[in-house]
Amino acid sequence: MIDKEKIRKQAKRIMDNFIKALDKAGDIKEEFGSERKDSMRTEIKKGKDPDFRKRMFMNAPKKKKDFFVMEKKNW
Amino acid sequence: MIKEKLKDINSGKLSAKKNIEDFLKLIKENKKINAFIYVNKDAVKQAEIVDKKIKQGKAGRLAGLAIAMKSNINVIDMPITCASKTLENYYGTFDSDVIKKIKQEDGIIIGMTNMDEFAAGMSGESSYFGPTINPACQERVPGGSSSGSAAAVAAGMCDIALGSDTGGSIRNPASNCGIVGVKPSYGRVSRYGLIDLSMSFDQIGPLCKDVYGCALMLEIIAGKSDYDAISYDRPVENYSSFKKINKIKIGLSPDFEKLCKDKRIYNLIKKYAGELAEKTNSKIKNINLKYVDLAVQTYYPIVYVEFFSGTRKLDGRKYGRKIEDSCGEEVLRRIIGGKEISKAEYHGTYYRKALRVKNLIKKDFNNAFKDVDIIISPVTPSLPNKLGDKMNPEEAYAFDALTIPANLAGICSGVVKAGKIDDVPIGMQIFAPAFKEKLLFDTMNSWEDLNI
Repeated sequence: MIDKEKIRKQAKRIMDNFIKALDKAGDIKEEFGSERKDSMRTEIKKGKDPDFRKRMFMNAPKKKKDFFVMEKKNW
Repeated sequence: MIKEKLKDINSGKLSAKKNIEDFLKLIKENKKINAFIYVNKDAVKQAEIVDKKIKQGKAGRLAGLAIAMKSNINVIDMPITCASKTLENYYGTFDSDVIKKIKQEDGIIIGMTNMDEFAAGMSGESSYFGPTINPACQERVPGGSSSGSAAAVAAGMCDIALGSDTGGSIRNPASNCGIVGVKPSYGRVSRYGLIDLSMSFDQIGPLCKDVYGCALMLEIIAGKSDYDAISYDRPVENYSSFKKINKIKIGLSPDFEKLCKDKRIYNLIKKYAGELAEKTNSKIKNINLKYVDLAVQTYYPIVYVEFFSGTRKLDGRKYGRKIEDSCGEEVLRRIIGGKEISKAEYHGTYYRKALRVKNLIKKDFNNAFKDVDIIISPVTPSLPNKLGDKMNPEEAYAFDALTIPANLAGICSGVVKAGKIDDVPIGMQIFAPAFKEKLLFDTMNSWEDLNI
């Protein structure tokens, strides 16, 4: 059984150490941004797969007729 | 070897059916390698169709070749498990862009390969379906995360395999298993259909026993796709038509040397870089990569956050199980860690800071490539671990120190065989600027031809 709290503390410690190490780089100017002219792609009309619905339903853990059954009271 | 086999298939000397049947037999006989999670039951039928096309003169460039696929790349009606319990029963509902292209060229998907769970690993041991065995050195790990793809190639169970590389997941197992592997430039290959680990770094790339096979495969799968917004609209060159390199400038960096724990590996690669330079009338130049020692510390905060974000779809409702309830320790660490540092109170402290340093490392490489044409380094800082050895996460992450920089910089990088130390295969890593895959393959081929 995995101890989630132990993992959380460990992950946070690793991240803290890593981010502290990045201080070596000093103050850095932020230079993010897109290199492309258009950031949005044109919507594409996809060819229809007649069996797509069947495939999706095969992957669903719980289903009832035409619906996926979502868990109740679990989240 | 791939070039010769294609000639044999196209001339009728070897049928596609026989090629596939031979591989299926080997896969069956070598189950202990655990390279495959699933083998395509229709492969022989598909090969028969390809044989008919060959006779009609209508076959594609991969006609009859057996292509193994990493289990995080969607193939219609095949299990796309990501080697996890979470997606144990998930079947692909569509073909990824790379699969469509392979099928168009009459390549035959022979099966889905083993890997580290959700590509979150570097040893090949963290699969829900059990560890992959390294065919080139059975007591050592094969490397990951594309462990099954590399092992399948090394054990001769397929012609070419595809893997994905986020921080070294193609190059690391290629090196450990003694084969060739290539991480293309960021945006060179469409990722539509790839189950993501970290959207800022993921790339799909080939593994093969020879450079020609990797070059041919990349030629086919590269290019812009309307379904992947980061794929770039740049011409795909004829990678598999090699030109001998001559009088180029080869960079070696003392900063890589410092990261290399086992100095025997660095010295071997340095010696081979010298031999390559000598035989190709090229020059060696030392280059400065000031921030490369921060690569691991830069990479993991970005991966943690993006992996946490990417796995939110795995809530157990539309498909599979809820990931947090069904995954292994490393996957959980990345999810919980990513969640932790994505919290509002940490805004700007982790992810954005790491992105800023990522830009510095990218600039480091861009500056270096003003002085040299390519850069050479080892693939791993030490020999691969023995199977089953325990390591803490920081030690495990440090194994990627020499491969991560290419992902941070978005450049292309390939691995070729470079001898052995203690009977363990060693890979030589070659970096080339972004979208200079032609130069990368020409260099890799020139090295291969030296036959050292």
